[in-house]
Amino acid sequence: MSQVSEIPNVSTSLKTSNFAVDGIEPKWVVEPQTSEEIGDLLKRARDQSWGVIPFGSGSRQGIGNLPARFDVALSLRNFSRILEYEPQDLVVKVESGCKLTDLQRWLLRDNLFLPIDPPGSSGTVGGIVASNASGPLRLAHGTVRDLLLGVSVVQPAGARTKFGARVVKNVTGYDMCKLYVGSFGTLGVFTDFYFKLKPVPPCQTTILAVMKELSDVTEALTKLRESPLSPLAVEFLNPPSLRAVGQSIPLVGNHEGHALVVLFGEVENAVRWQVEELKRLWASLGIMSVTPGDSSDQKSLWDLLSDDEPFTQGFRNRSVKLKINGFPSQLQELVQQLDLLGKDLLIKSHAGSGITQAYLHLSDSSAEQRGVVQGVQHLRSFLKPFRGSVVVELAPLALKKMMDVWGHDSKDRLLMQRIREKYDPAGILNPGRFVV
Amino acid sequence: MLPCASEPQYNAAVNASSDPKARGSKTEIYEELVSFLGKDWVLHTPEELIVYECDGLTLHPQLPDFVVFPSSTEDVVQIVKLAGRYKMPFLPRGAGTSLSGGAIAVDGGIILELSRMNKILSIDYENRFALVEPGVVNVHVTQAVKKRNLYYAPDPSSQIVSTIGGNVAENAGGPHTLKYGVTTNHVLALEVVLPDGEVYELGSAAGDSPGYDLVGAFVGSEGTFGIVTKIAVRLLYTPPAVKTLLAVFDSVLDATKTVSGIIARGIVPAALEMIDRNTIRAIEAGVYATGIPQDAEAVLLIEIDGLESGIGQQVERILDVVRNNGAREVRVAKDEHERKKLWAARKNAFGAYGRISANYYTMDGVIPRSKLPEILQEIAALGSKYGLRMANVFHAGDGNLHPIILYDIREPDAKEKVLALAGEILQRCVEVGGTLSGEHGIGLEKRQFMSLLFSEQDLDAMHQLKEVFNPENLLNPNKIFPSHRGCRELPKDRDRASGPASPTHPEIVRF
Repeated sequence: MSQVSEIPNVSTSLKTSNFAVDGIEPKWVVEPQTSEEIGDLLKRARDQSWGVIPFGSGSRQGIGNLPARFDVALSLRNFSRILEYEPQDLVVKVESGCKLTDLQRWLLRDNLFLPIDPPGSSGTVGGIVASNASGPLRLAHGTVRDLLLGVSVVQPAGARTKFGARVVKNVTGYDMCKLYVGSFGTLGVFTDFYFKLKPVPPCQTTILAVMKELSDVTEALTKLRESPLSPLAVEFLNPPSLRAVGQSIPLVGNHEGHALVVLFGEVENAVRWQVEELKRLWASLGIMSVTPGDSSDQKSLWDLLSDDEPFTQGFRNRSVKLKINGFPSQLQELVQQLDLLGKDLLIKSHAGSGITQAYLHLSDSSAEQRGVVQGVQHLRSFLKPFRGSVVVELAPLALKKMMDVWGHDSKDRLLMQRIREKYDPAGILNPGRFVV
Repeated sequence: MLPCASEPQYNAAVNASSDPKARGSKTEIYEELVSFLGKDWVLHTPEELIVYECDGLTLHPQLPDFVVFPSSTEDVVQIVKLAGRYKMPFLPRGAGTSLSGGAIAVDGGIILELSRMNKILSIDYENRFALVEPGVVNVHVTQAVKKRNLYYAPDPSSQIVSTIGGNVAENAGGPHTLKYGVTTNHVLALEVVLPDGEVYELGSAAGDSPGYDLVGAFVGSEGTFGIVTKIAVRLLYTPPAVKTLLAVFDSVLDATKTVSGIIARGIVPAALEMIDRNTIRAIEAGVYATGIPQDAEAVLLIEIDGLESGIGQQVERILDVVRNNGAREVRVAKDEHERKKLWAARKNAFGAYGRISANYYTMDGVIPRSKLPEILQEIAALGSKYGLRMANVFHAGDGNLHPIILYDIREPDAKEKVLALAGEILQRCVEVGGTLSGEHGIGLEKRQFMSLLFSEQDLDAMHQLKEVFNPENLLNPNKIFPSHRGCRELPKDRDRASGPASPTHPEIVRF
């Protein structure tokens, strides 16, 4: 067993208990100052077969299978600077440990933003890239996959590398950025990124419609899809989800049913026209819609909609969150399938993108847990024919031990294993958690 | 001077092509290919092969040994397995419009011409994607879905002939990428045949797929990872309204300030193109003349799209910026006819150079938008240094430059001068924070310049990815990575003297 003194930058101020992953505490927390130090640490980890987990805020560490080994938590809190920023290039270079909210506040001075809205307010850009975290705005702006222009990566073998640049269009060599987005800390440690920015829309308005029947939702979505309207986001909430949101936002509190929430953002004339047009289109189906409150109410509504908190309802430890990847056209069928998991399931969907989140709260009953495992298996076989999938993004430990959270068993997994093996033959980064 | 990194021996493995014993006799291979493809679909005589000696990059021609025309994924698998058995290099080819030599058989071998695999297999209107074969021509996708108000966004200027498979290999761009992104932003899933003959499905049209983003890694790999046999592409709703403006400037600086000014106002135009004085003259001397004053220094072609209700407001805001930056004249296309006329001038610029120069070399580089004024000045100065005329017509909004070097191949040392000038321009692009290519790719053309941008460790990490997909390096060898030949040595002409550097497809518009 190696001694603490052997590894550089062991934190004296950070407690290992704050870095537990699935209940497992690391032996050490390190907080390097430079990418050289990260490289040295990874080389040492390889020699000692340590398991290393890079850490941003830790807000998304719940995603993944149980770590096979966990010796070192590598905190990136010393990497939190904005390194380059040229507003007229619509590009920013920022370190991986910078919180998204801090970055957005900085950019807002020039009316710019990184157009992503993943759950949680504490997440770092590094964690967001590693998990390709997204929110309602993905309908209009894609995910961080579409916005990452460059990356500096310390390779698992310790080499410091960089790919991409401060330019918005680039085909110089392989597109390594794509490989790193969503690689869940298994292919290297990111130190900084170039991101593409967008201007904040000059005018934004929200429309809310509440419907009794699920079939009305399908009709409303079809009508919207076949129109020239170009919303930034279209979110679906089932009745329990609408109730959960209503608890925090009185404006929607007295509504009961399925809801669609639509966001428009453009120049004022275009927004005004779209709002009227959507109300008219839906009214023709007998669906009434409203603009809830003023712009600050609407902002709070979208903050809630993009977050997990309102849906885990303070029971994060007992909550299960499923991320379901399917076709937008299947929403109704999917919601019916999900009902088999439990009637009080909270369902929220990026309805234009085919990404659905389902939340449920578990007791300690093992029968209930087995039920969830079976339900997930059932969903996976329903989605498999068209390469849809279910990822268990949050689950109590007992449940995680009973299943593979990724459910990834198609042939391409073989290639992914080869990639992992190629870059990290010693298996030091996030062992056991992703692409195993 | 270019920095001289020590070059790793990436391509050392593939010299099998020059060793006939390792490859079996050509007759043997020919007969085997014919046995499952049929005589009509295997070319092997020099007269037949000559068409395939180069793509849009004409400076470094090389004959393949065979050109074959698979009609299905199964055919591709069989060809790839055969190539593997004989250790013969092979590579895919679409329409052959690559400007970086991506489809040149540098080491001979088999070219898989994918034009027979040209079916649109299915269109899902509800979920807005189409499943197509690699040989489908880019513009045919849009034509197939137009009646439902949908379109395929990436529009490289070769789109009337270039194929989706080729677009995927090169991660093709186009003038409208400023707002809509490049090919990689519009590809959802792939079916690929890897060099070992195994077929894989990558990605998914149904949301995100778990695991690494292999689709993202594959797009833009320039045909060095595998052969794409099916592609699911995203379809977008056609914007109902489009406005196109032409702004004429007496100074390049004012034009570039306008570019920054538009972006700074929070406007993202669908396209923002710049045309310089030499290009204006070439255009105005030809059949696509639009009456741009020939003493103008620069012209901006600005297009915005969106909803009818918002577009007037956008146009006003752009006109504001344009006027504040001293435009001499602004025209707003009144109708589709006028709009097409403005675009025709832009899109036919390359054809027009033929009127003012015997040969021209189209470059591709990309820089941060804010560096436009200085880099344009430097390009002009570098041109003078080499005594070569330059022209520029490019995607200003993206910072994607296309300097055109005008030259005459009959003059002594013309080619060497052109390549040296090109090298210096690329080096400047890198120095101001840019890269070697915005949309044409590295291929054969620029691999020796990769060390300008990437360290050995960077290149190693990229090469490791290639080793996963293409471990024997039989697929499209000697591309992208610098060769182990001496530093600064440019790819040599091989078996024969270089021919005239005229484009293979002079009718195709290129950006």
